[in-house]
Amino acid sequence: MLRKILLPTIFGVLSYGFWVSPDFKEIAAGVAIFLFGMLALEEGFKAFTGGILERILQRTTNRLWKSVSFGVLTTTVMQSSSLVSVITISFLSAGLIGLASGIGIIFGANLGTTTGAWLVAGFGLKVKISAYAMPMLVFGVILVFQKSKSLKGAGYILAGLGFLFLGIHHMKEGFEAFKDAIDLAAYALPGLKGLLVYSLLGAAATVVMQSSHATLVLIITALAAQQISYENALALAIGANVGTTITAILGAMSSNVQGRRLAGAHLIFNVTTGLVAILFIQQFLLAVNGISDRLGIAEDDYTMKLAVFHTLFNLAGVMIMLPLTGKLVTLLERVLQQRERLVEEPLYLNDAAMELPESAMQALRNEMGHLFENAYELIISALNLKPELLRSSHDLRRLVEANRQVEKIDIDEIYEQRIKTLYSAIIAYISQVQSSASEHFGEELYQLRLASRSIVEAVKDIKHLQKNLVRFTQSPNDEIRQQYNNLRLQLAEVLRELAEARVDEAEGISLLSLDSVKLVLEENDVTANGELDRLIREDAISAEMATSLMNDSAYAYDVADNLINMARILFAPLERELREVESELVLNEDELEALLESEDDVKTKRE
Amino acid sequence: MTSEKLIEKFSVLLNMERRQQKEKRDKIRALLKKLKKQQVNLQVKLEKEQDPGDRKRLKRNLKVIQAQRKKGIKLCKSIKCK
Repeated sequence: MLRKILLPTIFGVLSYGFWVSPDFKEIAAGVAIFLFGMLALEEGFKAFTGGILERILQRTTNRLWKSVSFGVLTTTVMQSSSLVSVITISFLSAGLIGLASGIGIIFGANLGTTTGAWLVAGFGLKVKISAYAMPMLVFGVILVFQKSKSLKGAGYILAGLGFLFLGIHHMKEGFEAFKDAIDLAAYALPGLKGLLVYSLLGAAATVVMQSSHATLVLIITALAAQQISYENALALAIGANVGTTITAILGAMSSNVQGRRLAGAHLIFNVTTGLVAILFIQQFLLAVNGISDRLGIAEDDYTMKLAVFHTLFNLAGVMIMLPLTGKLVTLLERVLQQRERLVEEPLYLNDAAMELPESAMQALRNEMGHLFENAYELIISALNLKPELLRSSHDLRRLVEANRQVEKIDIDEIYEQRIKTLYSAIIAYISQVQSSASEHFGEELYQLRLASRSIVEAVKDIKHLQKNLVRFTQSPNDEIRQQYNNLRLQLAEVLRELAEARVDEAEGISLLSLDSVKLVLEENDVTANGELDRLIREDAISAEMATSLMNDSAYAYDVADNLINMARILFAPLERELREVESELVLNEDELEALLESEDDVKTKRE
Repeated sequence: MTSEKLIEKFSVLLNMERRQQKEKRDKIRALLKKLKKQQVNLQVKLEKEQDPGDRKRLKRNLKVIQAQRKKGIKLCKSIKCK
């Protein structure tokens, strides 16, 4: 109901304002142009995120101070802390960065956003900024029409900056003319009351505009035109700082628990900083005067003083909160917990991660890893082995012999609970990403779809295999029992090699490690290595047993083959060029065959 | 840096195909280095290993790495790895 009437009400109030005052119209248009500029900037930066973003992120956020610097730098460049926080949430929900790194970036973004006030107060008000805006807009729009992705991106950034400048110009002009008509300064409220009322006003304005930067520019231009008092401007700036968290909170609504934790950290940081600023306003004012004197800022240059104040209280906030980051992480993890679920739900796939193609791709890879883990454990359990023991250095033969008889587990039920929902979610997400991501990711998305199908095929194969595995591991015939336990051992060997290849992922040679797994598989193929012929010839097993063994060997081979196929896609390096080079070194069927036939001609150091 | 080298670097920078080839070459070299390191590690492990099952596994992995390195070196030579 509220939503239905909110928009018409805003339209009505604005229209009335435009009718009554042309100056108000100019200010509102300035705000609108400014916000449009920010949208264009956002679009431009998105064009530059293809591929390198993940590497930069990994290198620049592994330490807290680096995360903070990253936040300061990106916000300074993008001139939008909201954009940085929304992107950070999408990275975090996709599992690209950790919570502590995300918090560091948010702290840094709060500091970085203060550069905006300096730019506007120090440059925007003193120079005829619209003179720069016009050529920027013209060049920017020409570039936007170019085919090249990077030129298009540069065009959006240039046009975005042009619109920002134009917006600032109109706000400035509007307030200049406005002060002749109405004196807003008459509504100035002194003392604590003014501080609280204007803080709330600042927060409300930022919530509406969804940009503390726009609010701040509005405050600075109004202050320059002496439409608001210096004290009230400070309060508005404090409020704007709190109000800006709304964008992050809205962004986190569609995110997973990690994203919500980050939005929580953002809110706690900004509210704490705001409270500190309100409580110690006198001390801050003294400090601002002292710093302004040193920097040579004139006594009555209130706009520059506002910029100093804005930086100072955000810096104070960072200094207070930074040592508490660890505690903040613990608190948020305790308060916002993962829901207990009966049916496994996707951990990484969410709308927030969809924000950028990189984070969406990473979310998909992580979710595939999640699906792989579940399928891996299911297959191990179907072999009547324990996942933790298989991952240890225990002797596999002994492990298999210790649990000789396979007990039936309900694979269908586990499939429904732990595999199917993830598989469906992955397929749906891939389709969604495909419609929004660039062609650059088309091939990888196709591969990921294939990989998820391979995992599910492996699960289906183990289901077929389990039937006879249960039956023949309890058979009185020693030979057939032995053969089925061999099948278990071979699969266990492949599974262990796969786990080790996953460790090699960190070393960047995981694709190549899979060749060893493939060789294990080929070596153990009972139909190909002559073992089956021997058993039939020697009449050690019946014809029925032989055909079952033949079929089940094929199932076991398929389980392993599907897992290897999946791993080839999932464990591949993220960097496309590296992936291609590694693929060229992967051994083909003939080369593996040649290795199988070769004698043990491995040279050791001593030989 | 001599002027010849400077010109060489500049021409690589301008020629997209050569630049891509150089990047590929560098990547293969880095990969070969990693494989060599792993091969040495495996050889050291193999010398110490007594268990026949583990020795078999290590030997198998060594065989694979040797084959991959051979393939890599051949590929490197085909695009003029120095």
